[in-house]
Amino acid sequence: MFKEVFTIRKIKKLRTEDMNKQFLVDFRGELNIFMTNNPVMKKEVQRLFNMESLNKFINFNKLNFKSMPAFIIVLIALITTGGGVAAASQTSLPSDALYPVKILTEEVREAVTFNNTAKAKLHAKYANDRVEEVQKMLSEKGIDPKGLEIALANLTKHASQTASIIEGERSHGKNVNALAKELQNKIEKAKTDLENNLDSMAVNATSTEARKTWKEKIEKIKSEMEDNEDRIGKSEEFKKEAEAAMLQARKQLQEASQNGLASTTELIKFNSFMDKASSSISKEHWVQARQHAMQAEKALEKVENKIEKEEKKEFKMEKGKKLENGEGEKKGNGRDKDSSTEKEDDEDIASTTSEE
Amino acid sequence: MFLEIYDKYGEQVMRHISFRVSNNKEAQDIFQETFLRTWKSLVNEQKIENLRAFVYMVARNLIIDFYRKKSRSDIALDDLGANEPSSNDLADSTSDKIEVKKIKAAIESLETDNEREIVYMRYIDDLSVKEIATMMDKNPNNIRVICHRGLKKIRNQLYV
Repeated sequence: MFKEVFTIRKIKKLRTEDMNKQFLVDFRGELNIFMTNNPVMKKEVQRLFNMESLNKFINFNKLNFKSMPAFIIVLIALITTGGGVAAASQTSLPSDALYPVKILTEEVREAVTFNNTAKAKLHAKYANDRVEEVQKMLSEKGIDPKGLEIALANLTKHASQTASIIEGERSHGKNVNALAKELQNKIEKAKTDLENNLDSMAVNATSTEARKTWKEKIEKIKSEMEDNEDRIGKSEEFKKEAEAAMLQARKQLQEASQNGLASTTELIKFNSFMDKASSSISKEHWVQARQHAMQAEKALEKVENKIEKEEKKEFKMEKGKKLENGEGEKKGNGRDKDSSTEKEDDEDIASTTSEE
Repeated sequence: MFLEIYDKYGEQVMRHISFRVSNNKEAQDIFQETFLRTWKSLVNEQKIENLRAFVYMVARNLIIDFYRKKSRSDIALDDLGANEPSSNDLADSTSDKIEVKKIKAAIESLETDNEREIVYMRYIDDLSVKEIATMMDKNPNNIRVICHRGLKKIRNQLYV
């Protein structure tokens, strides 16, 4: 008996044999493209019609929806309601009863879009729509975990589908640089907007545990969105942009060093971002590399603004002292000029502070 | 959903195919075809109760086709080098490497392809007796007996 157990344990050691991970990752991408180009329409429709909320709204359980193609269902909805349900559903949120109808109309629209460029744009639009839904949900209903889960899952799905289409077009030798740039910007916008909203939500979460869970989720979504951006940006154009951004950041650093700013905390931030940028470059993640380089440059901009502000304050104080010493009176009419310059300085300081 | 299955079991399926088809390039082709065909089956609305078992079944059929096309002796001659594990392939220490080689040899020494396949699926791929029985169109008791006998033979080989 024991010998048998030992033998099984020994056999199980073969599970430790490593496989070619790179091959598995590469094929995953190809499989994803293949799946996007050959979707399982019926399953999606089944999934949608299995959703509880839709059943609550339309008690049509006796009818066999599962065997109906999507367009027939939408057609019935359009005929019976004159398009009213579909139109009304467009403003619905993930936790609303009409939301599945909204998603269904989107999927039908996607199904009848045969041009890949248009399809990719549609997915990028839907990704941004999901972010808008998150924003609306948070402002109207507060934290609604179920609704957020649905919106976030759909968001990453659309971002991934956008990336898959771009990858597919590239693999067919098509030049999609302009489209990739446009869509990467859209996905980046979706990511930034989402980040801003979710960050405040995580901060406002009631318990420490909830805060932790949300932070983890946000990180996961962020990382998925960045992966998709990098998939879209896997081309020479994006590589050049990343390298240019890094060069620009280094120039900025040189200037800052010449002005004696080398020991500030912002400089540490700069180095940290540049390290991230270099790491992304080595992984050929051009979009992330460019974003990190831009963040690094921004970190130095803050230093410059701070110094500028300090210089202006000093200048103002010196001027004040001079006035106190009566030097201003000797200048006569010049006083008005000085006060107007002073006013301009004040405005400058105010604008610098507000910018920060 | 399908990509989750791929992430979870892809490596395992690749290991299974590599064990049975020693040529790395051929094994990779069969692996890719396995997942593409499984997805096509989903697109064609084929009823699949256990997706993981289905993936294994597709892989199994492709391996059978592969051996049908090529005679086994040819492949063995072709792939003598390819079957040698690389330094990165196996567990780190040399003693572990020797042990893994010994276990592989013990499984290889089983008399029939069926026996090797069933032992591999049961103890390395961790498929249930029921799943293997359905896949191979055999009685579960029959699978249990083959597993037991195979295990006994491997044990004898390892503890000689």
